[in-house]
Amino acid sequence: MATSDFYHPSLGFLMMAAVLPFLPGNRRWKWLLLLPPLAACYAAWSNQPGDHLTFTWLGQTLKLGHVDALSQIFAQVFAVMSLAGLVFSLHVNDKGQHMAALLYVTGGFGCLMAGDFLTLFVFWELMSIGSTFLVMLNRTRESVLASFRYFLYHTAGGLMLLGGLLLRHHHTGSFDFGPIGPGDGAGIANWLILLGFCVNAAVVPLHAWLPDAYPRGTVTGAVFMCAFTTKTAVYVLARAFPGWDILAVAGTVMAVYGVVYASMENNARRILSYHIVSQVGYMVAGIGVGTYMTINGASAHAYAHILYKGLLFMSAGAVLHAAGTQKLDELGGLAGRLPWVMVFYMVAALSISGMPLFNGFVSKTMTIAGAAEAHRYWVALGLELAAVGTFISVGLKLPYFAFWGGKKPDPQRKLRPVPANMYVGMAMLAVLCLAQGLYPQMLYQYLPHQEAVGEYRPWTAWNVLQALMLLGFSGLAFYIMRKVIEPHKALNLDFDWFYRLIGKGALFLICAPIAVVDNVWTVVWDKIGLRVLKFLGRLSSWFDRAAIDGVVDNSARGVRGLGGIAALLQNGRLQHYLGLMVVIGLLIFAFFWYGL
Amino acid sequence: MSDDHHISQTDRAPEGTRPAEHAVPENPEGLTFAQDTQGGLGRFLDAQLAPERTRSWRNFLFAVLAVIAVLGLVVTNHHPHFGYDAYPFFWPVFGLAAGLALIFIVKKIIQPVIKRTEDHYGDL
Repeated sequence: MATSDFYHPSLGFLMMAAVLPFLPGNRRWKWLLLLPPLAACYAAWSNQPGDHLTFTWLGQTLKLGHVDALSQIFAQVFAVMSLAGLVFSLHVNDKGQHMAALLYVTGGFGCLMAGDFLTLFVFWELMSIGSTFLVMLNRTRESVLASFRYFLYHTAGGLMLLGGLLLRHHHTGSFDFGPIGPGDGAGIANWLILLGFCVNAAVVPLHAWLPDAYPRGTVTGAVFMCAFTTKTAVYVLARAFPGWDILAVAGTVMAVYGVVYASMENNARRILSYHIVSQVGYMVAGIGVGTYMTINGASAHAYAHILYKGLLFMSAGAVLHAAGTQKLDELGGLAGRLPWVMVFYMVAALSISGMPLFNGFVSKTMTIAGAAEAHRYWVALGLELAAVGTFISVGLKLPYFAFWGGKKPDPQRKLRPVPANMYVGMAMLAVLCLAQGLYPQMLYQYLPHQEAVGEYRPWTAWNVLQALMLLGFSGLAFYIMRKVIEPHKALNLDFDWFYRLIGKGALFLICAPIAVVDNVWTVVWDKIGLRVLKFLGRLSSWFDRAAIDGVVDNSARGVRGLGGIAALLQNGRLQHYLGLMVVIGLLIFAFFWYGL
Repeated sequence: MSDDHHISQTDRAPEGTRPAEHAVPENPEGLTFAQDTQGGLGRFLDAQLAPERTRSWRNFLFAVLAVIAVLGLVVTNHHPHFGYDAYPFFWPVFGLAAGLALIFIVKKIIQPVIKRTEDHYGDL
């Protein structure tokens, strides 16, 4: 997994996950958790482009270490995010959670470095398993149930990918993982692969697993999940399906759909989950438009998004950790009690909204401008509309009702202390969000299509003013409608209603034939089986009485008779005993004398 | 730094031993490393909730909006994409109208139709 010019970033995470159960329980091992992400950071900046770690297996060439500009930029942000995520979770004294996170990140890096579909599939499934445990290990009933739904759903997506890649191999004779042209003859295989990818990218209407599972994950697990699954899917879409027009439409729908649901949601981490759908929509749309500028925009936005979304989940998780609830109607009045959590949250919230100074401003606007340059005006307008909704729900609604909400500060409210390492993790990402916003070149220098980077300059007077006008006046809309948008306890039906229906239908299809067989068997048993049993019962009962009881009773009688005779002999007179002894002795003597 | 450590430490601490100037003296779970260092910012934020302060903040933000809108007359868009965005007040109107419409449609039309009780699926 490592050569002189290549180190696979998954290696350290995998080894750490393997040895963690055997480390002594004094918790000094927690510092070792930081080694794999540090090694991954080194690898992400030092690995040279090319195909490394190629093996031939069953006549297929497996490429475990494919490095190019696109995989490098994703590897860099994955490495940074895994470091911040592990710092944030250092206080967690549950090896199971750490192992799940480490395996999950192993899978994420493995997908980035995969040069063929088989390798991709193996790591793809590893991610699915790791993230399932990150939900399950929250150890509440609703989390365990959600993790099973999550796993079923991702298994279905994984099977689509597997079916697609096998069919594609049948048509093309190769597992090579590269750009797929719509007219390459593989037809349905390509669509199956695309569907498998779209499940993980949370493309509407395949998205509902995300807001179902992520808010139910552990505080620290959700921080990892929000960064890796969907962005791995964005990466594989950018590699295999750039310029597929359907993705431009799907991405725009996602961007708007996510903000619509986020605007009515009460659960803080579910609001953020819907905003993953929305923000990944920008990236999917960028990939669908498929120009160099929009692919750059999608990559830049994925980079920025991982940082600010990680920070959003960290700070919302810190509120959940401290207050014990993530429901906005139960929060409020916390600004003075958790001021730094609020500050870090706001850095992320302004970043996701695309506010100048923060990194969303330099990435989101590139995608929108790219779409407009490519004359995709509806895409661009949809993304601007989503930007309004994003600022309203994540930039204003969530922090307003969590930290203020018109409620007075309540010094009596019990808050669990927020560990220092959580603050350190948040601070790391907050600094990066600001730094990238202020120095876009820090991000732009790693974009996959360097020749197109010069086409867009974020820091122009007009771009800044346009962002301020859009966000400022959508803020005014929030101010006017703040009573209307106030969240209340509710469950808002989403496409998971259909998934559950499909699940119940599948269960019915399996159960109904079994029930029919069971009914027939019951009748057969009742008519034939029970009668045979009854006959056998009667037979054995007769045998019991006639044979067993006869033997037992007669034995008893025999013993009683003999006992009576023996009792007659035992009369207590010594001379009788002596006489009897002589008689018996003579009888034995006679037996031996004459008998032998 | 483990939570258990903090909680057990504060459980042992007798009541009323903390200095009165702390922002949250009655907090039964005590102050942590982090909360100790953020008292100043927390007190500042709480102080902003006084009615006259909130009014000042609101007026300040309205003024900022006015300045932004006026600046739109000076700094113009050289590459309008949609046609109407060549007009100076397009983006303020778009932001306000889209925001109002979004909140109204979502909360007054969509949510009443798809809203169910929290435990609709029986998962909780």
